[in-house]
Amino acid sequence: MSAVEVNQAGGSAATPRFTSARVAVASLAAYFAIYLSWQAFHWLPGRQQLGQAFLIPADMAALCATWMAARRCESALRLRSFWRWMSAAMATQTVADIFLLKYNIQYDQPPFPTVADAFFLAFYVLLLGALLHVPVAPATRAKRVRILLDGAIVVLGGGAVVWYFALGPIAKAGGQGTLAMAVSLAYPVGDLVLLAGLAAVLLRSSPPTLKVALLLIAGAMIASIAADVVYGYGVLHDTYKSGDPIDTLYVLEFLLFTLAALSQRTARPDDEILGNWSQPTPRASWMPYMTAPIGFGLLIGVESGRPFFPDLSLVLILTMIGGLVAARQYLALRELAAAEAKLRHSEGVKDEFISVVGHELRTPLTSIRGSLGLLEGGVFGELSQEAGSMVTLAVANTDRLIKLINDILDIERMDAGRLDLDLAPVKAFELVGNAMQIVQMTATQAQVTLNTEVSEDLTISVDADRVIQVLVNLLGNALKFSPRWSTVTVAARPERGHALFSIEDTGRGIPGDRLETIFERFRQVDSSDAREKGGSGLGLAIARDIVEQHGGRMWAESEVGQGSVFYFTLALVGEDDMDGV
Amino acid sequence: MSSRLLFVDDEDAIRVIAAISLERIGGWKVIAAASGQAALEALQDDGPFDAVLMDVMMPGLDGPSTLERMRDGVVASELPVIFLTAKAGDSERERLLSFGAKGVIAKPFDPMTLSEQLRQILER
Repeated sequence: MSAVEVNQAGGSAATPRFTSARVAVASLAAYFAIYLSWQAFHWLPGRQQLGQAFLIPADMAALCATWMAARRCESALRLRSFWRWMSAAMATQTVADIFLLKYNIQYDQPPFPTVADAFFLAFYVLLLGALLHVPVAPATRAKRVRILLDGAIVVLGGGAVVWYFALGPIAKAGGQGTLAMAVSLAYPVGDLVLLAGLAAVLLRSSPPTLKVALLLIAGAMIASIAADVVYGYGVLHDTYKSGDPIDTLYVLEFLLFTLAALSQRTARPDDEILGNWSQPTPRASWMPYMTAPIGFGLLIGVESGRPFFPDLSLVLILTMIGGLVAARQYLALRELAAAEAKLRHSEGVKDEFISVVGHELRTPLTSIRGSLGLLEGGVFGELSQEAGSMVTLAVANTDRLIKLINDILDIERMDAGRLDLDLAPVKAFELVGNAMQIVQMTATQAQVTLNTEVSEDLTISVDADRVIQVLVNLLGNALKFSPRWSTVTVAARPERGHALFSIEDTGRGIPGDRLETIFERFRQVDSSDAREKGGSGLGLAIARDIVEQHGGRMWAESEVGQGSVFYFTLALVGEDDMDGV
Repeated sequence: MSSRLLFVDDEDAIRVIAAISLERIGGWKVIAAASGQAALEALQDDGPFDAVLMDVMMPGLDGPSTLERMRDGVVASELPVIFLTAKAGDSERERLLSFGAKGVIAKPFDPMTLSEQLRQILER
């Protein structure tokens, strides 16, 4: 079994044929078997050099496999960058092992630390970089806190073990020069950092396409941590030599990385879309709970002075408690997942219900609005003044009802996350112009002047129709509360990397304690406003929702009796979005 | 001679209102059909038409299916079709346009401006 063969097998797995992946896995297994038999019987001489040489094909297999995995993710950019970081990490490891081989050939007792160690440590940085590039689902604040707590337990448990078994003894040993000490401490510390990164990834939901790969990477890292603890200790005490049995864990680590990369099938762009991911499962919930007994079980061993034969009953009880807590937590999380699924289902039913109700209400309203409209428009002859004003009243209130239904359906769509934004670069003054056109008639009727102060070159990346809806909502409000002969001003200017829009009126203003509640649904400053001013009480809630879905912010400032200003921010167009303008 | 429009909707009241609005304000000659099936028959027997204004949600043959059958046939394969829908929304509008409709008008419509909306869509 040569390195070339392993690499080719790993490489050819890029084709979707199942057999080549099988050949690759079989080759990896065969390589590991050969290595194990060499470790057991040393059927070839040159233990130190050959032992080190054995690592390099495993590194290279991992390098090729991760590189091919990145190629298979051409259309899923975040997955691709994850595999590229992995690939870079594997490359530094390969270089490091080649350097170490060189030193092993040159010296019987290679110096420490060397340039090889620099590459070995760079490997941790790159691997952490890879873990940080795993696409993870955004979590709510409560979930983030939970993940942080779980991660802290894992790191504390792992940290205790690493401290008592590696860092402590290394620090105590001393006498080796500061650099040597720092480098040998850096290995277990690097492992701890990776452990934290891995915990953060495993505890959140990640794309299903990475599920197998992440589990294999977790296995590889556990092998790595175990090996590094021994390596860091041994190298400082001059007891480690390349080709020692502990190297088996390093070989295993890189074969597992290779398998992880092989498990990545050709990715499609929608593999990264959060909605297509399965919901987070409680599968990783055992991690923090089992870390505690494992970590402290080992500590009991250290304290009792018999590291591998500690007081078993104590360790057993600890493990049982940990296991029971983990099982209990698993059940609780499963219940939660079931409740969430049920909630999603009933939300789906509610959406469907509201959508049907919306349709069923609109059909008769079409007839009512239609016949009233024909009457009001004088299609059947002029109406008497009284009759005319009655019909106008009926038309206005029918329109109000229609607006309410439309607003409710909009809110519903936003709650269900079904408001798809069609983002495109657009000039701010065009949007403002469009919105002004829509409300011009209302402004004329209210005898209010509309004024604009919009920077000409302000370009934003937004869903134009939705932003016009926001502007029309805010302008409509401003007009409703503006006294006759007053002016409503729409302005837009760049401010701290955003476009800042403002709509200013000189109406009666909003009391300070209402400045936030007005954005809540069905909240108006005065409950009689709904009757007097029309409006559904949903306009501002919808406007703020739309702005927030664009990643912007909306707020109001006001002085009672002087008027109000409504502000909102939207993202300016980036350099690379400018092509479409 | 005024242009001929086929108006398809399963609601009696809406057919009456739309016919009055389109004939008196827009000057169309309106032939009304109460279902997708009836629309296909009218296209065969009462043609030729200049445009079709059709509801989306109808029992039996709905708007998009009717449009599909029209496109498969000989008589109305090129006829501009505009949908009327009570399910307005950006995604719904796009879905309807993807069937090959020339435009979409939301319900409830204003009878005084319906003809104008229709004219603007047809002139596109």
